[in-house]
Amino acid sequence: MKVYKTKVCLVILIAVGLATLVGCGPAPAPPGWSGLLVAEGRLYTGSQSGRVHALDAQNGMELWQYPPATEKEGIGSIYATPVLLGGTLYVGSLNGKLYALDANTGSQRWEFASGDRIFAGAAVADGTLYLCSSDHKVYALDANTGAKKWEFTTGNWVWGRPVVANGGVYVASFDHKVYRLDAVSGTKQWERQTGGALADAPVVSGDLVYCGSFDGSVHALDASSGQVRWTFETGHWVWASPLAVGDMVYVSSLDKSVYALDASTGVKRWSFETDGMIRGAPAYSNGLLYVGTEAGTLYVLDAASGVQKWSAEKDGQILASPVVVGGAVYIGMQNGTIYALDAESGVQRLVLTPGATE
Amino acid sequence: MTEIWNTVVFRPMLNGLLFLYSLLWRNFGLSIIVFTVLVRLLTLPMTMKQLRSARKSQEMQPKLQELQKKYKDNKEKLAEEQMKLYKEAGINPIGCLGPMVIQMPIWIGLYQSISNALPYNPLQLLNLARHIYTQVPTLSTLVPLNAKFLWLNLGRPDPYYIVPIVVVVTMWLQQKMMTTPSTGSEQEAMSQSMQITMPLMFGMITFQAASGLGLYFVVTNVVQLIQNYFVSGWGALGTLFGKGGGAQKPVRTKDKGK
Repeated sequence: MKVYKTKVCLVILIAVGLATLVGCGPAPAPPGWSGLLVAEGRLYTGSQSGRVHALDAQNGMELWQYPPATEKEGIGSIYATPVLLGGTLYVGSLNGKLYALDANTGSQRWEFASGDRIFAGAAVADGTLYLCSSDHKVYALDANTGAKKWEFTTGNWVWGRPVVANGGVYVASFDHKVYRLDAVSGTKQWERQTGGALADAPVVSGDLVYCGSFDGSVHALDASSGQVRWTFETGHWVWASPLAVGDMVYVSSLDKSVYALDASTGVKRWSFETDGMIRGAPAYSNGLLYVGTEAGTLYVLDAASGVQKWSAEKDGQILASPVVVGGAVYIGMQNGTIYALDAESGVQRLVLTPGATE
Repeated sequence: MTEIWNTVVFRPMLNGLLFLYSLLWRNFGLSIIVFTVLVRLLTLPMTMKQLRSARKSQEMQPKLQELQKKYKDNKEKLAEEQMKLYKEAGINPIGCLGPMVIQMPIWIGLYQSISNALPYNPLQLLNLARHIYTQVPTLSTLVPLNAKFLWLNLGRPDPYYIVPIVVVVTMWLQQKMMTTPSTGSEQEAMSQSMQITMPLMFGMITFQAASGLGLYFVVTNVVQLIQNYFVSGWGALGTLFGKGGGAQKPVRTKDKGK
C-alpha cells in the first residue's frame, strides 16, 4: 500500500509540475520593447501596458498619456516607434490598431484597425500614411482621416516599418522577401528573396536598399531593380535595420558584434565585439556610433575607426535602438525605464519612467 | 543549472525538432509526431520492462490479497511481507516509474521547444535566436515555422478544445488498460481516482498550453496503447468493451516461472 501511495504521489507531483510549468510558461513575460521618438523637446514612447506617453525630454515630466490615466485599460502593448508629423502622433499597437493622436494633448483624432498586431512604426509622405501589420499586409491610408487607399499582401508577418523613397514603398517581410511597391497605387514593382526572414525595416540610401536577414547577412539591393549588389555575412541573425551614413553602412548582429562596411562594396572596414546580442539598430551622431546590447551596455564607438570612446552599463536589457537628440543619448530599457546620458561624456542627465503613476 | 538544462535537454530537442521540420515538408505537426515516435522508441526498453513488471504484479495479486487478509491487523508486517514477495518475484515495485521520470524532462523540454520554435512575439523570437544552432545555417532559414497543422495553430491552444478532449480520452483508455486488479478497498478507490484525475489534469494542461504539446500527449498515449496491447492484451479494457474479461496475452519474460 505504501508503495502504491508513493506511485500516486509521484504521478501527481509530475502532473502538478507540468501544470506549473504551463502556468508559469512564456505567456506572462512582457512581450517586448517600445521604440523611442524624441522631437520638439518631447519624448514619445509606448509601454507594454498599452499606453502612449509624452514626456518633457528635459526634465522627464509626463505631459500626457493615452488612454488617460483615468481609463483603467490600455490599448494593447506597444512596440512601434511613434511617428510625428504636422502635430499628429501616429502609433500602432498589438491590438492591431493604429492611432492618430494630437501630439500636444494626446487626444485621439482617428484610428485604423488592421487584421493583426502592429509591431512597426509608420511612414508618412505626401499626405499618405504607410503601415505594416502582422496580418501580412502593407496599408496606405489618408494621413488626415485614416481612410484606406490601398493594401498589399506579402507572404508573412511584416514587423518592420515601410520606407518611402524615390516614389516607391520598400517593405521587408518575414516571408524572406524585400518588396518595392508603387507609392500611389500599391502595385508591386519588384521583389527579392533573401535566405531568411526579415524582421526590421529596409534602409534606402542613394541607389541602394540595405536589409538585414535571419540568414545572418546584410544584403544590398539595387533600389530600382532589386538586383543584389553585395552581401555581407555575420555570425548570427541580423535583426535590426542597417544604418547608412555617408559611404559607410553599420550593421548590428545577434552575434554580439557591430560591423562597419563600405556602402558600395560591402567590404568590412572594422568590427567591434560587445558583451551581448545587439537587437536594435545603432544610432549615429557627430562621428560617434551608439550601440545598445541585451546585456544592458551602451557602447559608444568612433564611427570611422570602431575604437571605443566610452560605455555605460545599466540594469536590464537594451533591445530598442538608442536615440541621439540635442546632445543627449536616450536608451530605453526593457523594464520601461529610459536613461538620458550626455552624448559626448556618458554622464547621466535624467532618468525617465513613463507611466510611473499608472 | 539553467545552462546545463539548456545544453543537454532543451537545445538538442529544439534543434532536433527544427531539423525534423526541414526534413518533413516543413510541417511542424508531422515533426512533433515523428519526434514522439522516436522518443517512444528511445524509451522502449524501459517501457517494456515497466509493462512486464506491471504484468507480474498482476499475477501476484492473489498472493498479495492473501497477505492482506493474513496481516490485516499488522500493517508493518504486511509491508515487510509484501516487499519480501516483490523481492522474490524480482520486481521493483516503483520501477515502473522509471519511464515516467525519464519522460518528465522530455515533456518539459518539448513544451519549451514548441513554445520557442513557434514565437508569437519579438521576445520569444529573440529567445529562439539564443538557442538555435547557428552552426547549422539551414535551421535559421526555417524561421518563422509554419505553425498550421489541420485546424490547429500548434503554438496556441486548440480553439475548439478537440485536442484536450482527445488527450483525456486516450489517457483514460491507457490508464484503464494498465489497471491492475486491486487488493483492497483503499487501493481500489485510489486507482479509480487516479484513472479520472490524471487524464483530467493532462486535459487541463492541454487546455491552456500550445496545442503542439497536446499533439505530443495524444501521440504518446496512442503509442502507449499499442505497446500495452502487444505486451498485455486489452487488460481491463477487455471487460469494458466485451473482449473477454481482461483478456491478456501470455507473458514472455526471461524469468517467467521462477
